[in-house]
Amino acid sequence: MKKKKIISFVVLILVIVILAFLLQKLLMPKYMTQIVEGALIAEYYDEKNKDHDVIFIGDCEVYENFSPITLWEEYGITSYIRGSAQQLIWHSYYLLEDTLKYEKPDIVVFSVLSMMYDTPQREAYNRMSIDGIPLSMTKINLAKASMLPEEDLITYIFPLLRYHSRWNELTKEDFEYWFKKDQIAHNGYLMRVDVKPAGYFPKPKKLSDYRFGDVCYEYLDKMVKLCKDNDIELVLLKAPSLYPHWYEEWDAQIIDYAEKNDLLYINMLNHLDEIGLDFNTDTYDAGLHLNLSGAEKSSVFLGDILKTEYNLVDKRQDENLKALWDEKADAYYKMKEEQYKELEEYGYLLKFNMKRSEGNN
Amino acid sequence: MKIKIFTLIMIVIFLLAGCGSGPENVSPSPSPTTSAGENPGNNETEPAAEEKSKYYFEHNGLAIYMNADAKPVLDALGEPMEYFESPSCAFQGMDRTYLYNGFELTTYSDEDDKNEYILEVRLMNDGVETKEGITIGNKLEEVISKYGDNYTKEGEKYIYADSNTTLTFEFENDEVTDVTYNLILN
Amino acid sequence: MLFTSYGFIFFLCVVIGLYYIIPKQFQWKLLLVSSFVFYYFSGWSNLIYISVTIVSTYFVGLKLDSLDRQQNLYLKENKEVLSREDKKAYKEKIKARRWRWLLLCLFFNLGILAVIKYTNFVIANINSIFTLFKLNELSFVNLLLPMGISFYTFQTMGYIIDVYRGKYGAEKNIGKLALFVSFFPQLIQGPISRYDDLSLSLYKEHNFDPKGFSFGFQRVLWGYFKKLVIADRIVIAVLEITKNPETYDGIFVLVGMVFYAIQLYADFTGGIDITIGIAQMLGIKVKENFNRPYFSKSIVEYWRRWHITMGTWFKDYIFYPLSVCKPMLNISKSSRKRFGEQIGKRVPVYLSTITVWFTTGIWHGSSWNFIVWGLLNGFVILVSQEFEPLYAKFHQKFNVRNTFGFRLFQVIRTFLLMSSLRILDCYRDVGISFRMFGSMFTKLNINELFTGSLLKLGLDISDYVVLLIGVIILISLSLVQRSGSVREKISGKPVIIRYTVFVLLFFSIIIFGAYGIGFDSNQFIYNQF
Repeated sequence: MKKKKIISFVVLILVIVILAFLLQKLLMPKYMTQIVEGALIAEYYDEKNKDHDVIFIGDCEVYENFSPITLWEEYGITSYIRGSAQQLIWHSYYLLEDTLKYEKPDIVVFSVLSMMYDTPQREAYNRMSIDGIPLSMTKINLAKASMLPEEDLITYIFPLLRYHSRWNELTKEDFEYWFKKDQIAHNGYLMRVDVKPAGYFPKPKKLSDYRFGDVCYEYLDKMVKLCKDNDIELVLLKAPSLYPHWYEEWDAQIIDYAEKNDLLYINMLNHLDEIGLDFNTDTYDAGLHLNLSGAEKSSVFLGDILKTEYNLVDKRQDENLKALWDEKADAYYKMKEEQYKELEEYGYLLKFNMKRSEGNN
Repeated sequence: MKIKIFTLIMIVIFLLAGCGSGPENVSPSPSPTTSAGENPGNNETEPAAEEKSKYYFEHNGLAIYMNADAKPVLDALGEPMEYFESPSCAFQGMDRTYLYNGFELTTYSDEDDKNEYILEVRLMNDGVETKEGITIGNKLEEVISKYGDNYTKEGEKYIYADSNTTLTFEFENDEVTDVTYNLILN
Repeated sequence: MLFTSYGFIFFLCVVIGLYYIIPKQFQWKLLLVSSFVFYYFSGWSNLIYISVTIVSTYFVGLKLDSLDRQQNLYLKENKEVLSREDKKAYKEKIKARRWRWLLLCLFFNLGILAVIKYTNFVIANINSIFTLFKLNELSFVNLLLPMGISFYTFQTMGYIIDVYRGKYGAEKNIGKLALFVSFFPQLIQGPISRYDDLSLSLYKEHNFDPKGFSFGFQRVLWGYFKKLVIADRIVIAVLEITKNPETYDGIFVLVGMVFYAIQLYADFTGGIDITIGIAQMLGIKVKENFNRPYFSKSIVEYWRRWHITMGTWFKDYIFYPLSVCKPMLNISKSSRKRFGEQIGKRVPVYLSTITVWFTTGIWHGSSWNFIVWGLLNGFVILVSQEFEPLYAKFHQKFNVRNTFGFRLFQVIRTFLLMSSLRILDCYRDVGISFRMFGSMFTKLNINELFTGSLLKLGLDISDYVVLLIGVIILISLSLVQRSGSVREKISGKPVIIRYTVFVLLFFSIIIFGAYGIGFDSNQFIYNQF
């Protein structure tokens, strides 16, 4: 009799755990048809071959401006962009720490634009950068470092407690993608083929204090140490975006820091001609980010520097890698074709225009 | 007699009604209006206060307050000379900058991007001036004489704050080089 | 710590876990430590206030006991020697001394409560008078109200009065007394326990009792359901209505009233469910505080079924003592002489009633709207008592008393009456409250309800569906409960049904609870008392 009770109790617990898991999966945002940036972090863990020459970390300055497919096709360099929307430096640091559990890249490229943010920005960005990481101490530390005052740590361990309120916001997408995922990016590169020429920019404001926040330097130091301890070359990068304004005073601090720590710092804004960027055709949002053609040009430029500086081996001869990357390239060009088709049909890309998918509002 | 007592009680009650209530800070009531207070919502661009600021930009009779609904202002100002959009990452709202003759107007929107609100107005040249008559090129003494000395100084910036707005004058060689109205964000 | 915070849930798990692991003789000590830890999180300075109350009451209790023992000893020893008058005089002397000690304890502790709670209220009223005479206003003091001070002070004063009355001896163990005063499940909002009742189970050694534990846990879950799914959801609309009286007048006042009635019920009874449920999980029996009050047929009945422990406290420690105290008996005598029998016999009742309701009002909050609310309750009670003979005549003529229709009418009438009085709660201002109440009859805007305005109160259609289902469940359970404990009924059902109910309840709270980002963390009503 007692045995029966214990068994039924255990069954009850199991049922609760399974239900909770299912409900959590259902209620978490899918990021498959809109705000697809949210799917970037999680996609890394589906990678079969987690072994890359180069890992990029940073915000949209990396995931919109570089194409791992181009790096492969031009130089045989394998890479992955661990980028996410408005990724802040502490996100980057812990993401790197997490990535190092799976692989040891030769080079880590860090986009330094996030040095201008020394406080957490929005809960939504925290979620997009953190939710996709499997539960671990790294994830917990990252959540603690990122949380806004109104957030609770336990909601990062059990996201059901955060997303339960979506019960009356569930859409077709939530059910369709309950257990499946579409490929959103290409080794972390979020493709955009549309074009919007750069035009007018607001006049840059003078700041009262140009010094990057202490907490940013702390995390940069930690990043340097982490790379050193793991025998990884850290490269500091400023992507070729025309806005937000990259102040000279900021540039000077990075140059200074790179020198002191013996790091390579590439400010691509100083090489726009060399890269061959034309901001009438190579940007999809008037100069804030590059589109596909711009990203490919950047990649050719950056790949050359990395190959030369660090003697990266051209892996195009490796049979297995070639097969893997051929597959990736297929998906890449297929998406390119699809995007051009969409542009022709609608005039804009569906996944990136929330405003125009009015049906959902 | 009963009626007299009844009337007396009613009078007392109505007299008490006239007194209103005491201060609310000490103890909350068995009512929902305790600490909850504000409406729920997680709007990061939550402005500081809602009373009308004494600092606002006036252009051809149009008063432009920070955090005001931008639509009527934009309609009144007409076609801008230039326009710039800066979406937040992952489309969490959008900042838009409109360049008019002599000043730049920037708006922000929330995640739904349904409504625009005035975020900033920046004077670009001495063709426009604040409603108190200051513009690019004026001297520090002139600014202080018009706005007083209740400012905060940050480097070469003199910042006047009132309600939800800051009015910042930036100086170089003792002359105004920048005038900006900003919405104070929490 | 709020009941509905992750911190509290974690705290609870730790306490309950330890409770059944440690040797049983330490269980009550663990509860004492836990209660102080719990109170510490509301502000360490609050610990000073509660400690002062505990220590002062402890020593006065011992003193009262020792005087009593002294008296018994003396009388026993000198039984033969003393005359009747001497014995009486001695007894009077001791009684007077005990009375003085009691008064000291009462004044001291109630004084602390009064000063912290009412100073600013008094200052505000003095200032109103000062401004009339154009005198300088006094400035307000900055005193933070320790959490639960109204509850634990009254509970402790009840204890010391009982000791004075000789109901039971004083608690000799200061730790045990401290636990009685600070027992954490009831610290926030009661119930106001009696020492002789609570001590029966509070200090005992408890074995793990699966049934009691399970029942207690079910009750806690049910409390969270009421609080998170119903109360914290509907409060959004209530706030919107009551914070904008100019916009939401007429029919919206009625909407606000009814919504508030639901919110207050769900919030308060939900909190008490959590309190009693936690105690039950610990093997401790805490008295009920509610008895399906919205099914009451009259205001008198309502106050026997709503916040029961507060009602009985006021009855036992204010109403009865006041009614039978010497000054009151004198007033009764002289008023009978002056005004005749009819009025004379009413005077003590009226005076006691008004005192009780004035005190009840001011206990709820230090502002005029609460005093008016309290007095109005008293007023309605007195009026209904006066009209008793008239009602009796009515029922003699029309035999409707036991018909379903009439009983339903009584229930609805009482519900609306109590909800109307509570308007003073909602608008916090006496003038606005009366104005809004009046507007229900003068502003005929029922049609506005159908223009989608209900969806502009902060709730959308899905919220209303959840609320409707929640309220239906509430009412159904209450109806079922009339014929016996719901948990007993469920425990008699097959396993699959029991587990399904549990799983549904559990996930309803998780999914439909109005907590987290996007919802304000609403404090329990009756919090900070």
